[in-house]
Amino acid sequence: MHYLLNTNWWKWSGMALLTYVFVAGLLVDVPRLPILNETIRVLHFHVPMWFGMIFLFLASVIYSIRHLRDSSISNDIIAANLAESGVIFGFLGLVTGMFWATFTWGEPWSNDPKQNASAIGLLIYLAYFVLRGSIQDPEKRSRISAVYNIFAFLTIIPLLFILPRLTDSLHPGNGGNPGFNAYDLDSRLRLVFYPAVLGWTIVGFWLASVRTRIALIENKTYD
Amino acid sequence: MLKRIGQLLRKDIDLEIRSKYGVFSILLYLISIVFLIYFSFVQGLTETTYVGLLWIVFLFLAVTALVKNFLANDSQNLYYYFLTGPLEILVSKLVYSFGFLLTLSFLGIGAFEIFFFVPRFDFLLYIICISAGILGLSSTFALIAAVSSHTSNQSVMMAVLGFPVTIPILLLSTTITRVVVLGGAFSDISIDLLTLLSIDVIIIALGFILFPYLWKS
Repeated sequence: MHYLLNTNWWKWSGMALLTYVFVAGLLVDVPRLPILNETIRVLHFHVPMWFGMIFLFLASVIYSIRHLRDSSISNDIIAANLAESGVIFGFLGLVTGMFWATFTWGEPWSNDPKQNASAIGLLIYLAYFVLRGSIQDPEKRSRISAVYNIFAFLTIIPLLFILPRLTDSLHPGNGGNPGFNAYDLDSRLRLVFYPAVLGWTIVGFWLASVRTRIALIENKTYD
Repeated sequence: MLKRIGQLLRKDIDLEIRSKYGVFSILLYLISIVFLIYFSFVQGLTETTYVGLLWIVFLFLAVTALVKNFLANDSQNLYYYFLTGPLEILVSKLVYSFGFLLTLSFLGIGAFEIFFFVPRFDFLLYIICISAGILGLSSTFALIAAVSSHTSNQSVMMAVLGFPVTIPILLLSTTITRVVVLGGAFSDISIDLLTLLSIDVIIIALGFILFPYLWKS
């Protein structure tokens, strides 16, 4: 993360990738399957949000663990801002998913287990920020929120990935629907999808890095 | 170490029995809720509603009963930092929470049985499902109580932190309890019961890893 805080080249590549994704995602031919038709293009915006969220939460948990090991305040600041970015991406993923569902499943919220589970996952991380706000002492706050961050991450893993597969679900890959592999993601889609995942993840870490830099400077000013 | 855990357990149980209003306030809470449900649902309960309400009642019982478990500002706790290790305190709290909540849940099931009629089903399997769910609820709220004891408003934080985290446990518990109440057998619920028990194990293992960072302020 410190490398990300001090370099800029990856931001340019993220911008280039996303420009490509926006242009190619909307212009390139896509296979027209029943129900989905042209809406499959949302794939490049909905799924990378979730990938980005998971990567951001994973990085956040790693920094929380590091904070518990060496009690340095910068690790805690990085962890909190990565989690914040993750929550933003989670909301975007939820909104893009609702937008997509309106056209394919008929309604924005259809009680799909994965939709419900992702909303609950976001609630768990919002509770993380409530917890941070409710403790005054900074050293105690960083330690307790690091503990809760680890707890929250290890709770959302079964929630998001295991439970929806056990029940009926409308999502691809769960409840008996063909997943990404059996989807045999068309090569034309793959050409835009993989850069999309990379591009959106880069933007997520970019967002987190800007907020982290601000927070680290504030922290140094108040010392 | 086992001896010390037993002593800590006995201390907790003694404190609970000797406190004048402790257990009875929660029993009052339980009976009031069951009465309210009885008056609200004039046409009786279907099996699905019965199970859903049962687990909602258990959830609120867990929050009210386990909030007193961890009082970080208690002056008695200073002695424990010298006498025992964090894991012994955690094990005794987990066992105490589970026993307490299990007793309350059996009383709750009894209260529901008095007021509402449900056709016969496999009672032993029912008890197993309830116990697996209560194990998850009690260990989650024990850990959340430890986290929220450091905040300024413990009971509110316990509810805010605890409710989202217990949703997977409640989801699985309501599913398996409903299948059993509708007359299912062990083979119908074995996969979900196994998933529930593995989530319980994950939560307890997390507690063991994280509690040493939480117990001292």
